[in-house]
Amino acid sequence: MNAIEINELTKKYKGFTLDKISFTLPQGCVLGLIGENGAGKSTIIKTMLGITHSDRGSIKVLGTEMNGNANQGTVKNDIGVVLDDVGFPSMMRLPQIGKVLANSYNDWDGRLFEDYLKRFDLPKNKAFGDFSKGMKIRAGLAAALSHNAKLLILDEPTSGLDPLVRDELIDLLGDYTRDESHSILISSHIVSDLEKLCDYIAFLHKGKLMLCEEKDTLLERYGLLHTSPEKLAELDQSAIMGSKITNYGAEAIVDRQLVPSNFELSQIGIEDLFIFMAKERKEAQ
Amino acid sequence: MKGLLIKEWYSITGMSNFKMMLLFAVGVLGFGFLDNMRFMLLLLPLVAGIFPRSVLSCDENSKWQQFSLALPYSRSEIVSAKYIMTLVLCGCSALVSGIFYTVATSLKGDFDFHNLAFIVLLGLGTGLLIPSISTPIDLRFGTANGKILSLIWGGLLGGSGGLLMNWFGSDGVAKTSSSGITAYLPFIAAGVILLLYTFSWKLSVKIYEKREF
Repeated sequence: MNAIEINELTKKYKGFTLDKISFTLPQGCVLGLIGENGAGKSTIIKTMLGITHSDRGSIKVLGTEMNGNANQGTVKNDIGVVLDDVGFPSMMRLPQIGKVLANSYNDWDGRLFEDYLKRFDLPKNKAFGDFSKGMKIRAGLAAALSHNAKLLILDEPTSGLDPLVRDELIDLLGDYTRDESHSILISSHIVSDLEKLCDYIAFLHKGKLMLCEEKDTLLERYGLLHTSPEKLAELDQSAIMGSKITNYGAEAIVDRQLVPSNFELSQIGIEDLFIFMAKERKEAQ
Repeated sequence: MKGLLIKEWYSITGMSNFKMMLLFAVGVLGFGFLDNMRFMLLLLPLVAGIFPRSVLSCDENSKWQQFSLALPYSRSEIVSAKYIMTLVLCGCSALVSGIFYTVATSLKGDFDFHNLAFIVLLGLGTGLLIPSISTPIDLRFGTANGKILSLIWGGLLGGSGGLLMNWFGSDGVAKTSSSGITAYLPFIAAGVILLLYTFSWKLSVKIYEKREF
């Protein structure tokens, strides 16, 4: 079963359109939504959860159609969510938040929540509004992981966190996905975090999905070419995913299969691939 | 729904500690001034009716409205929890006003059951009037955009306060007789406000079903 199936999802705002987004997240996998600020990552997540209504398209989460479904509450028992601002009431303390959630989720594990609070070193007698950004995210994660969710949906959980906390978070999510029935959809503009964690990568740029593929396939398929502008011009243009010409030469992300073997290619990172592709798309526009 | 009700309760008691203390102090003070109970009797349900708006404003600031939609609840349940808690809060405040009236007039020896019923009913109606009007508007436009609404509120507060002040005599008992149409006016008023509250509840659910965050 797929954890998420999104088909032709469209949402129009004044000055922004989320344009026919389609992707699938197989159960047991991690999909990273990568895009610049305002690319539409949060809109996809909010639409999936029914926080925002879509204009067109279908969304299935854990086999349940979400669009226009008034009974999506049942499936939400199986979804752990950490939104950008987390969203716990600012005047409440964590034990109170725990009590609210214990009476909301069918399968709330109070002991597990307590364990996470200790593990994350979170204070119990402090109002949530007084927490730092990192503490808020950790509290949100503690809640999301304490009701035996089959799917985690995380919107920019690493932004605003220091590298140490980010690393800790990635490890924690890695532990979560050891269970094969657990899946994660995570959005971020910090690509290095997602590169460590994700099985699938989706690039989003200005409301459009540029690609959605397995991470390993992307890394195998594309390479970074350092050459002269003249030699780059000789290449089959369909092989070039994105290029940059400077005074010192040319750099391009190319499809390895479409490049002659005499060209020397180096390994690319997901971040390079995204930046080159986004720039190429921008110039084409 | 239980989780939502608990959240509303924590929100009210948590954010309004100071106001609660103030209310308590005013209540105690009012109890001491048995000759002028009007202010105290009206204040409790009036303030109780303002709490839900404060909670809504806090929900907006903390983005609870978004997070609550990720919880296993329907939009209708999220709105209903607010209305139920407001009803409980205003009902309790009206009852407390009734208890104050009973104790005070019993001490003075002029307790009147008819007046007690009026005080409780009018208290409940007074408390529910403001949230009946403000909640659908706040849910539609957000509390931050409700500046014009605040002016309407002021008018309503002043108007309803003035009317009720006029209703009660300076000795704190209602200027009504237990016979004739005037005997039923508070019941009719409370009934009309309860109807308005029910309509407001349904309207808010419809508004919230369409709301996007």
